[in-house]
Amino acid sequence: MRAVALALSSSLALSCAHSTPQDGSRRVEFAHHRHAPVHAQADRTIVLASAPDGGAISKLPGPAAGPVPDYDRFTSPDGHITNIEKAWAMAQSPEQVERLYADAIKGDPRATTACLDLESYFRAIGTNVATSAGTLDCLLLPAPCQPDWGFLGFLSRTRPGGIRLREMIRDGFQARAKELALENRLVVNVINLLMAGVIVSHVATVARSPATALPAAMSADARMVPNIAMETTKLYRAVSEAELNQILETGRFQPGPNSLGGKWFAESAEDAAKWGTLLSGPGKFRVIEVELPKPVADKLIRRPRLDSIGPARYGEPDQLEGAVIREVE
Amino acid sequence: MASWVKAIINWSPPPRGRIPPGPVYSTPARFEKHRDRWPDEAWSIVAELAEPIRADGSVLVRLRFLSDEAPKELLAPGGKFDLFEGDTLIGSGVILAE
Repeated sequence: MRAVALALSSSLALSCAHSTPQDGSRRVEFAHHRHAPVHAQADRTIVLASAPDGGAISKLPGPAAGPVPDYDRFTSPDGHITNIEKAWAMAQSPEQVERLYADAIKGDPRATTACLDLESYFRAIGTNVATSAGTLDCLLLPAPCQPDWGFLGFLSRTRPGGIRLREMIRDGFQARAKELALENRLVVNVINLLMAGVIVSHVATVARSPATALPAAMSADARMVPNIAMETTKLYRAVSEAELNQILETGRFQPGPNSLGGKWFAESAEDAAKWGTLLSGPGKFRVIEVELPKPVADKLIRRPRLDSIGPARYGEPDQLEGAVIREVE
Repeated sequence: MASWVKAIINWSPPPRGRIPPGPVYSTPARFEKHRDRWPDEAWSIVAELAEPIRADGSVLVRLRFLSDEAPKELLAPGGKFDLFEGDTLIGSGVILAE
């Protein structure tokens, strides 16, 4: 079974280290390395999981050039975030986030400072979510609490800026969870939900400015839902080569040429193969396994017997967010 | 062997309805004659759009069941059916005479 979601893996990283020479200016350096942590030499380092070749060889996305963020709306002239609500609104746009990081990598000091402040903010979200998971209310539930990361759906799982901000949340969550001695299984499960579908990650330690006192209101959006012993449900789907490639590229399900928004799933790989044969012909499909939290899977529309093959479930794209997807060999 | 018939499908208007992005579309259909069996017994149809979708949301299609085991009598002319994505009704159709 080949895992599509490499949530906690390390494979490739592109770092840009922002050092501060004596003249006060900041310098940006690129370091392309594989399976190697970044040893930050300065107090300001941003590490992006990205492709130095712009994706031409590695198929990873390079820092993209979207519309220039209106820095005046959410930062001071030196780049510090002054209006977190507006910064949050900016972060909703993947294009703006990628452009912000692209500007920082190019050496724009205002973008660099804004990036670091934004990262502090997202790290604080992770910290706060872990704190919530460790509250008495959560701990008294029969099973550990699990945050619903759906409110972060706007963060890209495939583009360097979005991945970077997800990693900040992960790091914040992980650090606070460690302090609270939260159960390892809970921590891994929660992080997997956050990072599911992220194709590339890294293990670099990022040196950074002291965290600013950013408001944590947004992290309250991560509702805690009881997680019944972290149970998951595995579903299966026959997909074309094209759909498999699309999933590999985006880490999520999208409408295909013969379907609308949602997707149908079998409850066994064998049944999925039967549907694949009917739809595409023998051997002209691949079978994927989709692992969802059981409470989510239980909410999917279910047909007990479809096409005289077996039970099938239907999931809308938002229900499938965070699914761990693997190809069944 | 798959039996193709002609049918007219009227897609539900947005936001509830959705228009298929491609020329071939497959989803479970609830047939009027077997309404009492729905959703315990459900059959998928495969529809090939024979023309662009008209302004009123209707389209002429070539249609068959996905499975050869499906009751063919449901595809008799005049047979009415509803198409669903999950619990969402996304279109209704009628089988045409050959």
